[in-house]
Amino acid sequence: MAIDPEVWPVLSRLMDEWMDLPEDRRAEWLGTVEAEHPALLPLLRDLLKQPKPEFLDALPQIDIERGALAAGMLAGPYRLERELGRGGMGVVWLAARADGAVNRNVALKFPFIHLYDEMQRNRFAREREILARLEDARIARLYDAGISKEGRPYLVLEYVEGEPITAYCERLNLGTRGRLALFLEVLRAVQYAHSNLVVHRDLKPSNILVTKDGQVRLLDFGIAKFLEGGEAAETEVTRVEGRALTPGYASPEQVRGEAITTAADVYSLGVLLRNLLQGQEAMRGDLDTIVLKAVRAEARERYPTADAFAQDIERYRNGQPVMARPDSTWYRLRKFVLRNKLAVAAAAAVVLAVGAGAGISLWQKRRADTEAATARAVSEFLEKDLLSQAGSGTQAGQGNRPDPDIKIRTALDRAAARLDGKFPAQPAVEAALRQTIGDTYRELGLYSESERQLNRALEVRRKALGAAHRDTLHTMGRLAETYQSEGKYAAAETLLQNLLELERRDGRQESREAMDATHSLASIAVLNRADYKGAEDRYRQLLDMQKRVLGENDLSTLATMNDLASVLGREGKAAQAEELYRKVVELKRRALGEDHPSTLISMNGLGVLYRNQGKYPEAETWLRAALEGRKRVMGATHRDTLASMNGLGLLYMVEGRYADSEALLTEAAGTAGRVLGDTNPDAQSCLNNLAELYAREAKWRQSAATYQRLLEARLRTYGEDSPYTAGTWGSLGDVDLQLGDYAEAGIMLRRAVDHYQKHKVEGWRRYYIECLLGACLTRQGKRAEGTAMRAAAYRGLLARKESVPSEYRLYLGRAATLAQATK
Amino acid sequence: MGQAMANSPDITELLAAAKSGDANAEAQLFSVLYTDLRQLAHQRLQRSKPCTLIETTALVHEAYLRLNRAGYLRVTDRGHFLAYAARAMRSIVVDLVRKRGSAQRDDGELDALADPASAPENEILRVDQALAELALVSDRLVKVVEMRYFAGMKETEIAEALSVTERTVRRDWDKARMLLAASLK
Repeated sequence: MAIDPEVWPVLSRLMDEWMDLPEDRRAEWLGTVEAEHPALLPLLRDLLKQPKPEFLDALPQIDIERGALAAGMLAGPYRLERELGRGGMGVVWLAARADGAVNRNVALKFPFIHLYDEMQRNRFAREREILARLEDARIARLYDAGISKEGRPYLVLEYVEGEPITAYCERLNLGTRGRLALFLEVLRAVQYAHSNLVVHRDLKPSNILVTKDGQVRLLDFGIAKFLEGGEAAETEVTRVEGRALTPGYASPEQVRGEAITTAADVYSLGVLLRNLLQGQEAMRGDLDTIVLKAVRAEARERYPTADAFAQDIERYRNGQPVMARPDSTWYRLRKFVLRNKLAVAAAAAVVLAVGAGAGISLWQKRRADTEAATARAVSEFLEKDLLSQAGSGTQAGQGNRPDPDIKIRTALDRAAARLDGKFPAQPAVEAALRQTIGDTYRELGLYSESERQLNRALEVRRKALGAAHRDTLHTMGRLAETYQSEGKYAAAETLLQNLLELERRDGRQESREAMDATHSLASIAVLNRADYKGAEDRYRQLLDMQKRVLGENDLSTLATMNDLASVLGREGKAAQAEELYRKVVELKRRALGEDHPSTLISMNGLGVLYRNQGKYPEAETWLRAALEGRKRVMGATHRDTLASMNGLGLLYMVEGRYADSEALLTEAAGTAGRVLGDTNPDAQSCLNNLAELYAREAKWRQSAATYQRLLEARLRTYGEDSPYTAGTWGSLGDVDLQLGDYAEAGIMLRRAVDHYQKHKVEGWRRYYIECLLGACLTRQGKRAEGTAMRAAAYRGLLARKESVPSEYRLYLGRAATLAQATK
Repeated sequence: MGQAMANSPDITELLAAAKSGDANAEAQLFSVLYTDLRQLAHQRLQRSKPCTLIETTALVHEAYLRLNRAGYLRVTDRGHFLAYAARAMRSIVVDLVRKRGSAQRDDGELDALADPASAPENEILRVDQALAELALVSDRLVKVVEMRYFAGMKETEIAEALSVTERTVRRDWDKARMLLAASLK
């Protein structure tokens, strides 16, 4: 019934009047209306027949099953036999080929109507292909998908006859070993799917069946994602998991509706293991610990892969100590580290280092009791001699006053001193501790201390275990890392080559240690010699090996891919670099999640690549995304977050957006100075960029002051004989020259040039600084010397013109002016 | 993530723009809310076991709370937000019913026996059509119906959203029911 908009105002007023009247006066009122608006009366009478009270009172219920399915109905070539069950996503029917072409039963899954849209998107074909590729006897196959002639979509799945794993174990009254054996099969199947980038998302007993002959079969792999489609995950606002969460089995991030990775499956499997083991008498502490590690609330604290989970169970079955075990000590050590300003930046790395040092090297396949004793001794030492110094609720050690503000460095120094001669009969303990302390020193940037501890650890291990023992090799790898960090590339290379040789001799050239060593050698080729081609070749060979041995989604493989992309960028192979970076970002997003620190590293790297290519809008997109992600995941004061702010600030600087740049860089430098301290390399990088920005804004005094502060930090951190210190001398000299302070400029530039000449540094920057020094000498009246120096330096600079990064191109112009001027 | 982050819609801004008559902002707002509520609806449908009831009221409030918690929405925007959310909810419900309806028609013979008008879900489609006509005379009445019928909101909430008194809301609702009853006859 359409109402004429012209008459509506009158009609509306009349309806109001009518409603205001008591019922007994309405008839009379209608009489007056008839007189005034005769044309409206029929319509009004019609409207005023009040509807029943329940009219529109509630929205009718909507049936989302869309009509009944019945035995005998056809869906494509399949005839329905009987309903097998229904869940949150749809109804499942047993079916068989109607034409008898294949004599086997299948399960047809009919999703509820609200899931139709997702099924019909483009991704349908792609997802189906991925799922269909999963060929593992333990995973029920997805054969096909189709749409019935009634327009009802369905999935064709392998029909599995079996019972839920929990029921199976109960019925057969299986013991712990039997249960673990079955569970390991589940883990292997899940690992297989994960390595094909398929996450289950809904692992629970009803999806994990055991057949009559005792075979594990996983149902519905990837189906949840398949049905959900990609739409939900596109934006933060709309990110909701449109799926039935199974209480108890769903991970916290699933419940919160966040991005889902393989870690969600690890969580569900942890819950499953706990349920399988419930009531088992033989349930021991270690199994408890394993379960707890799998069901950690924080995804990154769980086992990183189903494989790692399986390995720990294997260790348990072999009577070895499990990786998950020393959790509480590590956790407290990290807490302690976190409280210490100096070490906040290194905290994450310290935990890793501790894990790698005391963890991995300890858990090698050796006799379990020795290992357990070593582990206990290490834990005890860390608690009593390291942690107690901070007085974090623990009793103070002998004669030690707890000091809540103690720097981790002090604590480490004391612990290291106390180590001497403490474990004469336990070389394994001493080595593990020195390794841990040495790794921690390195993460704190205290390289000579790190070197000392790791050298001692290496010595002890060589003597006690032999030169080719895996623990010894591990220490070699970490010592090389320290050498590399402090720029002692030759020493690092020797050690790494030595390590590789030992591994090769034992036929272990494909061990993780060997692959890590290869990776480091490639990185050193870049850092030390700018040998990009050599590094590229090494990375490529390594990548092939890692893909073969570890798979494409292993963190090490992804790290190599990332570094290869970075090297390609430096080689100027921009298109290749970009393609690879994009691939790594995508792989990491899928395997690790959007917000994983490693994913963010690659996103940032892609942004830096674009920045160096001069593709500023793209650079901004990725750098900002990485910054936002890091703020969210790691917090506003984390080292990586600050590095991102620094990098984005640099972009704005080279774009000439000085105000934007200054806002970011002052914040980054301020926070970094406060949180990391001026001796931290990242904090120094922020200061450096800020000083550079001031110079570009011609704020010479602010620039000089900032460089001055940086120089003090460099000297404290690196001493005089360091490329960093030399670089800062050069920068400060440049600004002093601008300020007309030739005496000061001369001193600074001279020091920088002396360093370059002494170390035979050949990069463009040396020649630029020499150019400045030449100009300075001329201004100071030493005309002949100055002119000669300027001319030679400018030629040297021009010869290296191509190697000047785009953001420093403007220096070429300045050098040209200086070279010609003062004639 | 990069792209999504950069374009993450600021609901508060969209609301402000929509209020000042920016049709583009209004369309964008609608699309954001539609997607969000639809996802919420899916989640809800799968959680509740009989799987037959859409709890639209809860959905709209949940969407509001989520956006508010995520910092996409200021508390002062609540009223306007609810009005737009109700409109999105209407679309979602109607789309669901349409999808179902088309399936039933496709099923063929069974449907010939059923009286289409008697199916409770058909009321939804007919109200939707009648609202399209009602919109020509009064957008406010349409909004009241959307909020009350499709989103199940309380009179106080509707009053707040439309910046009118509760009495006006009751009056509008009564009028709308009369008009719709006449339409649906």
